[in-house]
Amino acid sequence: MSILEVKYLYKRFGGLEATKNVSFTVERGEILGILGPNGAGKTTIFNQIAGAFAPTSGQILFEGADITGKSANVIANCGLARTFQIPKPLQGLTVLENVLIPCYSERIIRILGNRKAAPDWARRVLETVELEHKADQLVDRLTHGELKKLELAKALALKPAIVMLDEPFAGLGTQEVAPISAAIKKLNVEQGLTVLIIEHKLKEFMKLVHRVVALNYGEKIGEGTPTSIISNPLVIEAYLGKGGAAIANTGN
Amino acid sequence: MRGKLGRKPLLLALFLALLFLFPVVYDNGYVLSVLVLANIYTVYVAAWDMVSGYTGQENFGFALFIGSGAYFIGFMTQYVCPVSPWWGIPIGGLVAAIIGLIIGVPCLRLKGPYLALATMAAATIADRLVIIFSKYTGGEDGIYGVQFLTNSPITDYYASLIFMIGSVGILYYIGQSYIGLLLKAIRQDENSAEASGVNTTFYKVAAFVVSAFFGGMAGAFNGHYLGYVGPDAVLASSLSLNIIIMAIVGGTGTIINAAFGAFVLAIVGEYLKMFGEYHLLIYTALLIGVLLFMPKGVFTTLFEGFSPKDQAGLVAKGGSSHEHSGS
Repeated sequence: MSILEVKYLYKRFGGLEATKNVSFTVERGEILGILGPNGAGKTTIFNQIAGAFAPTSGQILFEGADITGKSANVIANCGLARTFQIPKPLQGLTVLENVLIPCYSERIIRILGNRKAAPDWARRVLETVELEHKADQLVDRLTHGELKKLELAKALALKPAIVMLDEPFAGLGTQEVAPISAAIKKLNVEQGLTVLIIEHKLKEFMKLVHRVVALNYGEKIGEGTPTSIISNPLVIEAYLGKGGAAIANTGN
Repeated sequence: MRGKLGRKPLLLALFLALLFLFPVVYDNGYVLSVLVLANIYTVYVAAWDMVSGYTGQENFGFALFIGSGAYFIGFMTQYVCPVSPWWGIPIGGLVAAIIGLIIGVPCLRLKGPYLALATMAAATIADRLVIIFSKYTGGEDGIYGVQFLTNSPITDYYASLIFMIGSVGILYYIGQSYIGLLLKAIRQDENSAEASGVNTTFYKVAAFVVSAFFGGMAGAFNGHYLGYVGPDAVLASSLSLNIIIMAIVGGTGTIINAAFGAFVLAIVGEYLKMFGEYHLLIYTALLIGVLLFMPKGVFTTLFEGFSPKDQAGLVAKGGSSHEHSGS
C-alpha cells in the first residue's frame, strides 16, 4: 500500500483552476520531488494535502485512510508534517521554545508518554538538524540558513511518517544547503522517512529525489525518475529550458 | 526558573510585602477603597491579557464577562436569596465562563477588527438589555442589597489583595506553562501553529473561557464589595475600553506587566480626580506619552531594563521565557 495517494485533486479559487485533477502516489520510504514553474500549483497541492484548505474535489488517502478536508492540526497529528516556504519563528523566544510547539501536540505527548519529556525530545530533534548549539539562543539572532533548519526541525519534531518540504533550500548558498540536504537524506536512509519536496535549486533537488512529478498550470505533465524527467519534452518546454536540463543532469 | 530573571522576583516580593503591610501603617478608609478597586481592576486586566495579550485576539467587550458574573449575584439576591461571597464569586465566574463559551465559539472564527466589533457588540447588547428590561434588572439604578464582602474596610482590603494575588498568580502560571507558549504560537501565525499539530480553535476557546471565568469572578467580587450591581459599575463600554488601555499601558502578553499597568493606572486615575475637570485631560496626555515613548508598555520596558544584559543572545527576557513545567 502506498503511504500517500492523491486522486484527481482539483482546486478552484474563483476563476482560477489551481490544480486540475492531479493524481500521484507516494511510496513508503521514497523521496518524491514536485517540479514546476511558479504558479504551477505545487504549494497549493501541499496546502490541500496538509489541510490548510480543502480541495474542491478529489481525494487524499494517507496510509489508506481518507484525510480529505480534515483540519491541518488533525492531519499533523496523524504524522503528516509540512514546512513553509517562509519560516515564521516565534520572535522573542529561544530556538528550543520554538521547536517545543510541535512537541506539545497530542501526537508527540502520546508517543513520549508525558509532557515533561518534551524538552528532551526537542533537543534531540535539534541535533538532527545540527542546531543544538543554538538551542538557548533567541530566534531573532538566527541567520536565514539557521531559520530554514529550524523550520525543518519543527516539522521533524512531529516524528512524522511523511514530511512535506516547501522549498527548504530557497535563499540559501551552496554551503548552507549541504547540511540540510544531508540531514534529509540521512533521515530518509536511516529512519525510512518519506519525503515530499518542492525545490527550485535543481542540482541539489535532483541529487536528493528518487522520483519526480512535474506540474504546469495545475496539471501533471510528467512523472518518473530524475533522468527520465529531464528528457521529457513537456518539462523542458515548461520549466527547464535547454540549459536547465543540462544543469539538472549534472545532479546525477 | 533558570535563575535568569534578574531582580524581578525580588522587586515583586517587596511590592507585595508593602501591600500587605500598608493598612497597618496607614489605615485610611478612602485610600483602602481606592486600593480595593485597583486590585479588582488588576484581575480584570490580567484576565483580559490571557486571551488578548497572548493570542492577539482583542476582546473589546470584556465588560460582558464582568457584568455576567456580577449580575448573576444581583439576580440571585433579587429573586432567589442573598448569596454569600464564598459562593457568589466562584459561581459568578462559572456563569461568565459559560457565556464565554457561548460567545467564544462563533466569535473566535473572526479575526482582527471583526472579532473586536463582535465582542464589543455582544457587550453593548447586554448593556442595552439591562436598560430595556429595567423592570427586572433595576435598569440604570441597578440592584442593591447584595451581601457585603466583609464588615470592615481592612478585611475587605485583605480579601481583595488575596483574591488579586491568587488570580494573577494562576493566570501568570498558565501563561508561563506550555499553554502560554501555544497561545503565543497562535498569535504569531495560526497556520503554522496548526501545521505543528496545535488545535488552535480549542486553545483559543479555552483561553477565552478561562479569561471569562476570572473576569466573572472579579465582577462578582466587585458586586459583593459595593453591595450593588449596576451597568455603570460592571457593564459599561467605557469599562471594556479602560481595561484595554490599562493592559496596553502596562504591556500585553505577560499577564504581570498588564496587571501592574492596571494597578497603577487605577490609582492614578482616581487621584487625578483632584484636578477636577482637567483630570481626563491629564490622564489622556499621560496615555499618549506612554504610547509615544514606551510603545511596548511601561512595565515591559522597565523590566527589560532590570533583566541581565542580553550579550550573547542568550535568553534574558525573564518575563516572557517559559518554564515548561509540563503541568
